[in-house]
Amino acid sequence: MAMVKGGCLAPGLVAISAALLTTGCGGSGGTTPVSPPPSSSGGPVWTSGVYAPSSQFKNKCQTVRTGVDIEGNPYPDTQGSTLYENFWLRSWTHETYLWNNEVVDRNPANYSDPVTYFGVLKTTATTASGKPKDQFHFSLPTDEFLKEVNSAPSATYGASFHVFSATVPRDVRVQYTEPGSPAAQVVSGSPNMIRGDKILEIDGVDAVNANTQTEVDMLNAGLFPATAGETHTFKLQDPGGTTRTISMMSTNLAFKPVNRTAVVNTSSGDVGYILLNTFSPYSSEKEIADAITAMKNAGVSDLVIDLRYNGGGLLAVASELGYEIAGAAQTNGKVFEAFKFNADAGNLDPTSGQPNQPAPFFDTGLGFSLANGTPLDSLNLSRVFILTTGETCSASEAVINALRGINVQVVLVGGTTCGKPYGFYPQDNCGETYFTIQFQGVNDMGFGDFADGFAPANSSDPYAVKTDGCAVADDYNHDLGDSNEALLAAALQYRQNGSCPTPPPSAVAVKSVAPGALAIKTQARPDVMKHNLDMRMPN
Amino acid sequence: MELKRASSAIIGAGLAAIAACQTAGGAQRPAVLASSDPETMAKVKAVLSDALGTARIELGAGDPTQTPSITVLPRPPSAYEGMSTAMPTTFDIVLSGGRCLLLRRDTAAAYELRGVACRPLPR
Repeated sequence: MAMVKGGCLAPGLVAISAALLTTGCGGSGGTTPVSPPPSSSGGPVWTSGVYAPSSQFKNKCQTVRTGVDIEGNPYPDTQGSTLYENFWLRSWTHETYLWNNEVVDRNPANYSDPVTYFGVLKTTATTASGKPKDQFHFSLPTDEFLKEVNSAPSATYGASFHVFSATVPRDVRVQYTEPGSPAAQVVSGSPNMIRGDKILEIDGVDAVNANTQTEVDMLNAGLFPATAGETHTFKLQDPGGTTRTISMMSTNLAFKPVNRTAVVNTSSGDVGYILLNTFSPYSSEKEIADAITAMKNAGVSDLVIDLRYNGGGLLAVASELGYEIAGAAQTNGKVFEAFKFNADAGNLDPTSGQPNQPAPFFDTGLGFSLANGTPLDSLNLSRVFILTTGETCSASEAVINALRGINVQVVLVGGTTCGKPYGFYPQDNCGETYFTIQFQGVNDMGFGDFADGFAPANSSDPYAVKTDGCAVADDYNHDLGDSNEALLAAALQYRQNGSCPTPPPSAVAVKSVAPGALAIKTQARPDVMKHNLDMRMPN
Repeated sequence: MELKRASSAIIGAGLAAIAACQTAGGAQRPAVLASSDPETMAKVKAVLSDALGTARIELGAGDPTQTPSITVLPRPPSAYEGMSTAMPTTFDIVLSGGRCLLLRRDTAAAYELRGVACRPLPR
């Protein structure tokens, strides 16, 4: 399964991205280097188990960058060597990596490429389910990293696509559309695209069966426009089976964190619904606060937060959401998330050297997009319904864990979450930005062991942490926020009488994409506005 | 607490850690910028850039001509950071001895806004 906003379809199995996924998400992995080691003349000498401070090796580069980066900061590089870069990685890992005592100490001189060496500087342990404990270890060139975080909104139609099958017979569906976007534009009485639309043709090319490189290139060009102002034609089949052909022009657009809200009237009171797709952009702070205020003004008695496609983002904004759900009485003096670093760090954050301070439930704006100190509204709920899938990740899971940590009842409806209670601070050295897991987030009760995700109580997943709620497969036959949509409907049913739909649908009724069958473009902006790519790794 | 100019040179010490406090050296009063015109904000950003040691300065929400603080946004989280601990950095605006200062809230370091007019926050 893969969800893409920028990416490539492959003819059969072209080029794809086992390599990209490995580079972007999984690390360079564990292979033994075969090339000759770099010269160590005049450089540091390895002694097993003895680590000099990483500061001794920082910015001592084989290739020195000169001038300033795209943010205007001078490059800090000085002349060094690959050996110095490797020694920096070794010491930095020892100082800051969460599982530093599980890393085998290998001689840096035996590796001719820092990225390859970094790939082995991680644990090889597995979780209870058998997946690698650290599947989040990777690096990328710093200029790419800076370009991505500083990029403007990119060309899109305003539709999020889900690729159920990247190879023939392909199955690409519309996951949701952005309000006000070309995809949501109403033409002849109906929106250009609706959730669940299956893409049959793009610019006359059979999107299901075409299998030449030229055709696949055309499909990619149409599905993922390179620039604003491109017009492409789509033949679509809607969830009811009706086909239609539409044309859309791409535009530069940033996806909104809060895609939509609704109030569902029930016999036992109104229920609020918020589709929240990311905590990443600064605007998420204000959009969430505005949505909560609207729910408060509407007098809702319960709240459904739809995090099924929310890969996380700013933990502080997630903390604000926790406060906005639970209110002052339940959060006062409580920890939203405390940070567990490696044992050697003691009471310090080893990445900064500063005291390790937990994140509280923030009850005011912090200045991201609400003025610092702006009081936040809260709904003062003792329970909340959260809709989830495997794309519910990181800061989204932190919300679930934090509320459970203060005894707010969290009712999960959907599938098992991704299982990423970890975080990192990206670090540049000599032109490469390294991502190594440095902390585990734990809640007010000290719990944070959900590396195999959270799942509803009746889920068949044997490894996830079980919570109240119902396992339900994602429903592409109804729009998000529609009270007939399977996850929302199950939440409403559970709220009404404590029961789940029977029999429990399988948690995720989607087909996996064959390894290497889908390429995620790295030049098309990784979706800052939406997803944490950490979760897009092959399982 | 250190008082610093845009050049980061320490030019004084002993100021109170928070804007509302008073010191033996004189009162500090919460203040706001007299103007937020581009020229003023360019000067403010230059001081902030030096204070934070980064060329990229993006101000957060809030109107420093109305409220006595300025926030500087962190670098946006990348698509790879689903659990970002990034936070804005907040500076309080104070008047001290006729000088307009920015006090960094998390470190208490002070930076002078030379050539920038401030006015006391109306009580």
